[in-house]
Amino acid sequence: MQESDLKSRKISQGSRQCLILLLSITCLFVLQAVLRPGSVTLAQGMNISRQASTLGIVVLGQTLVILTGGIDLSVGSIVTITNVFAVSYMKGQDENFFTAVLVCAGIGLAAGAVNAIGVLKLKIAPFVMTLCTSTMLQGIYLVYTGGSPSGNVSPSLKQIGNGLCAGVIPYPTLIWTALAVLLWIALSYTPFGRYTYAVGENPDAAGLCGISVDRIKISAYLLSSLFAVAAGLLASGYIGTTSLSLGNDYITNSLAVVLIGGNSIEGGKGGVWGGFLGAFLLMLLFALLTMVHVGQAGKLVIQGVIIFAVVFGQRYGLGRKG
Amino acid sequence: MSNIRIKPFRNPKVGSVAVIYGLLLVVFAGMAVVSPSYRSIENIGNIIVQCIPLAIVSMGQTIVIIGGGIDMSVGAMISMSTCIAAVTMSSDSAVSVGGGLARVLLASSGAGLLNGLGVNSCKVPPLITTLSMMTVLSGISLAILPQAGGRVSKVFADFMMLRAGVLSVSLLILICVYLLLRRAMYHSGFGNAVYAIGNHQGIAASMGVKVKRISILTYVAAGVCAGVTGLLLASRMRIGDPVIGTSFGLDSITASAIGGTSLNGGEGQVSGTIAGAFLIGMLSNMMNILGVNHFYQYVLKGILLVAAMIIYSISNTLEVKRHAGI
Repeated sequence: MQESDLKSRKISQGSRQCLILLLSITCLFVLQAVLRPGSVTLAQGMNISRQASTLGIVVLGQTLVILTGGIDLSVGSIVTITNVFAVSYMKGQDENFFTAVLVCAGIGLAAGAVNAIGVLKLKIAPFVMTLCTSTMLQGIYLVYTGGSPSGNVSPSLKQIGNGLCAGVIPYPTLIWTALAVLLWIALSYTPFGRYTYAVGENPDAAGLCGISVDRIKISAYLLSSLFAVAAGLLASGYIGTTSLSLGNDYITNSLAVVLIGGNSIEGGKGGVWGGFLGAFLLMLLFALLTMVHVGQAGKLVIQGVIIFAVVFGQRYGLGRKG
Repeated sequence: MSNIRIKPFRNPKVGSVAVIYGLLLVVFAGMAVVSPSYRSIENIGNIIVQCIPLAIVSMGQTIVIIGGGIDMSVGAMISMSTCIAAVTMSSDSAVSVGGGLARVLLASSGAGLLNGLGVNSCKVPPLITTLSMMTVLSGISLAILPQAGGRVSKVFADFMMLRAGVLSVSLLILICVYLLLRRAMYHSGFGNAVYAIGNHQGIAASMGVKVKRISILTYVAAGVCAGVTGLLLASRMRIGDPVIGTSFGLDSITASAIGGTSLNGGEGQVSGTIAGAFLIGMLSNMMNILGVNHFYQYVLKGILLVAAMIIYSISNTLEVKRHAGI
């Protein structure tokens, strides 16, 4: 009885968040239609979804880590290092595609493992450990490229990054949606999902109930790194070449989106679809800001204010209930 | 009963501070033996001047960490300070330099104050508050100066960079800031209160410590330290740079951790942090002299931080065991 109460409350909270986000997205589209009549088209929406897809995939991983009560600040560097190694192994040839993907996945798993070991075995605070990993990865890709990378991705990856499925939906959007559905199923209908929520809500109680807390947290960090690798590959496909600044925005952006999506920074609360809509909302907002000639500076300010305001709002809401 | 009142500066961590200074000496002595140019007065002065910005900003970070918080925004504060300095201090007149100084310090302490209010009044976790402050401030820096540029008054810059042998104005500033903070942390009620709220906010509050005010003050102190660091960097480069401070956030945390400050709050030494900052600076300098690709510094810093945390956690465990008599 109580369990079903709990579940229904969680679901209703989640769907309320999604409703708010959908409403905000609609408002932004209406605003855009007012500012630039005729600019709201399906193609434009799909374009924004393509831009949101890499961020959205990173967010899926970040959501998992934050659900378990941690934080992953290494996602940005993982995106960049994936880009660097993918390009360097592909050398613009399709036959090297799978080698490159395997190498990148290996790097991602290694980074995730370092995060997990630092956080769980060495008991270092998650944000310090993941920042450390981030710095080390940065060092590795800077040494590897000597600071000036070059090269191109293989044509097939470029096709995936830029192409449209059935002439309408970009491939990255499809992959993003597929991954989101998979994660949603895993979180909602498998023991892994229930354990993840339990660990985030109260690790001690979860441990006493016989859940292997460490195993859940390790898989969260590993999956987060793998999602970042996937995002890095898609982003590489989209830009077609390499860039050392590719991953810069992902840390604060992913954090902002996870928080907009209704996840609690303390863990144990949130879901997949809030982040899914949140990523789209953030990219739509940025597109609108570009439309009204707000530069990078303004976007950064707005991003910072969003992160702070959302957490503040959660606090205020929780405080009133308590 | 007599050992209930533990003065912070007599706690056992003083031993670990001595160890870091010893390590510093070993690194220095090793390099001095290997390379004759290394032990020249000129180079020693150089190393000191290079390490000072990190040392100053890390002292502010240490105070925030001791008080149980964390400040990720110090890097962005430094960038913003150099930008403000480069825009407002372009002429050599006393009014322009004085006005610029005032604006830089006001802006950085204001940012620190907002951090403090966000953490204490809005109850947003320190990491999130200062991360969003970092993002906002890097936006503001970009708005002030889209690219590195502007101009810092030559008279002011020359004065700040004045050097005679190993002595320099920046060293003097470091010593002044250190003495001020030392006075505040170990010879006033403020210091005891900072250690108290870092150890346990609830207990500190019930003992009559004004938790909110003290915590806000720690963030303001970190802001001022970041502002001073920004001024030093601006006078070294003679321009402003909106991304110059990026690495200082993590580096200052690393310096604090190496210096024996626990990231859980409530323990640490400002003097240890200076040693930590110098250790980072000297190791980077050493790698340059040995001809190691300077990008390896990123890897080195990460490893240093992890190593420091592991060593301290082991030594803490040992100490607990010793006290328990096992």
